Amino acid sequence: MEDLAALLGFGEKGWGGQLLAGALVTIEIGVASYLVGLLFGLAGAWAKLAGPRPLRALANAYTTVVRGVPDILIILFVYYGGTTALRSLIGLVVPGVTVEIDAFTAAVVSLGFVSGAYATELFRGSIQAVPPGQIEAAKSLALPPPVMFFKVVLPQALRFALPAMGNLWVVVLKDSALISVVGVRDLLGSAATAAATTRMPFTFYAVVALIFLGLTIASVGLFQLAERAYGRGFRRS
Amino acid sequence: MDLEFIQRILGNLLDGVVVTIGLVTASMVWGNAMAVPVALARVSRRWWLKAPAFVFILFIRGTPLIVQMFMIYYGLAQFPAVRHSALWPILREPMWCAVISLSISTAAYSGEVLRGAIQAVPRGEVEAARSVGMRPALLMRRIVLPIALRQSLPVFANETVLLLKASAIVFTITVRDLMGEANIIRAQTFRTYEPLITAALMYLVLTWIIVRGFAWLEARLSTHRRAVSAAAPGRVVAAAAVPLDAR
Repeated sequence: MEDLAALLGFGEKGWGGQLLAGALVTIEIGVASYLVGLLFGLAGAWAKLAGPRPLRALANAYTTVVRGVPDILIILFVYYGGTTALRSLIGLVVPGVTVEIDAFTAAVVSLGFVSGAYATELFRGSIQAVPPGQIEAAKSLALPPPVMFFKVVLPQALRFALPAMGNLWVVVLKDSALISVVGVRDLLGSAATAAATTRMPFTFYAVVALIFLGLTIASVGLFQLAERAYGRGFRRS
Repeated sequence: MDLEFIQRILGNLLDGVVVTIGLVTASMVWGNAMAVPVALARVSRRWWLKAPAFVFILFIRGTPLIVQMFMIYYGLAQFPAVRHSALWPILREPMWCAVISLSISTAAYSGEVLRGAIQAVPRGEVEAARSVGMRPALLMRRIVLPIALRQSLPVFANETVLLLKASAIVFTITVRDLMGEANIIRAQTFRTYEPLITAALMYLVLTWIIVRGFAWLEARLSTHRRAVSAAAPGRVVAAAAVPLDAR
């Protein structure tokens, strides 16, 4: 037990510092790609519900492809393919300039792209759940469409969306572990280094699993609090 | 896109498709077979059955599949007892480890779906069975499980698609499934678009097959209620209300 404490501690031989740094990277990537995903989702839901026909078709293709293709494939595609494409695009516009896209940004964009497809369906469903009378009332007051969306539709849709948004956050957090495959030193990545050096893979991967478990349980709790706070004034069924 | 290049890599990718189909089929069969006892333990009134099932489902659903897979494939070798056991020839093989971890994962996710479906079985059906004197085991086998399984078919279709998608990470433990083959080609030829887009299209076809297959199965298993479902749609939809669940 003492060995384990030294191994996972913050002392000279401990890997605690590295694991903590990795956990922070994981949380950063998770939060950033969750926010990117929610933006993609809002745009996608708008395109599906009210967008012009070509945009609607594009949004449909987006959700169909992401839901039918493995997340890791899309991550690798955006990570390797996207950076190459962006680099040659910038090279065309401004010759001689090379841009390095760092791993963190590529990770956030690719994970955000994946979670955006789930968020699209989530927002579409919850926007449709807003009673039509509310929208008719807003229209009869001649509210401009953006005001109507942000002041009437979205706040009410959010109440329906919150449970699924909590679910999506847990999914994104777990998905972020895939980023270590492209060499980002997130929680799993730093544990892999520790496992290789100490030859104790089970110990370190088990610690990673427990950290993820703690994060998911804490997230579920926080989202329940948020749901309760946001659902004030509504009868609980 | 270089069509000639795609033609050349098509054979390798199709080899990967065969591995992926085998992997998903095996994990689906084993995982769903294990899901039934997990769900039964989860709804049990005995705490020593309920608690382990609860912790198992919580652990599997609360941690990334890739970490679980690494614990089994890279992790277990840490213990000399495992390395000297009779199971070592199995636990040493990446393919076996992939099937084991995917099955365990499926057992937890499907177990949770099945738990919801068991609890959603209409009380009246259970009471009717009890009133004719059915014992709990027979009641479970003849009444509750068949209804619960049929009700949760749409969710199982979804779960199977998620299993297919999740199966792609087995390439990180050196299994050469469809994703693995595509990634090897990408790394060796420095071409990203051709192998990954072709593989993505193949995954889409596999997803489509799963979705159509389950729709066919559902239509076959619910012919008797087709006329009824229009009158009482609430019941059929109830099971589909389970939220999305990627691994």
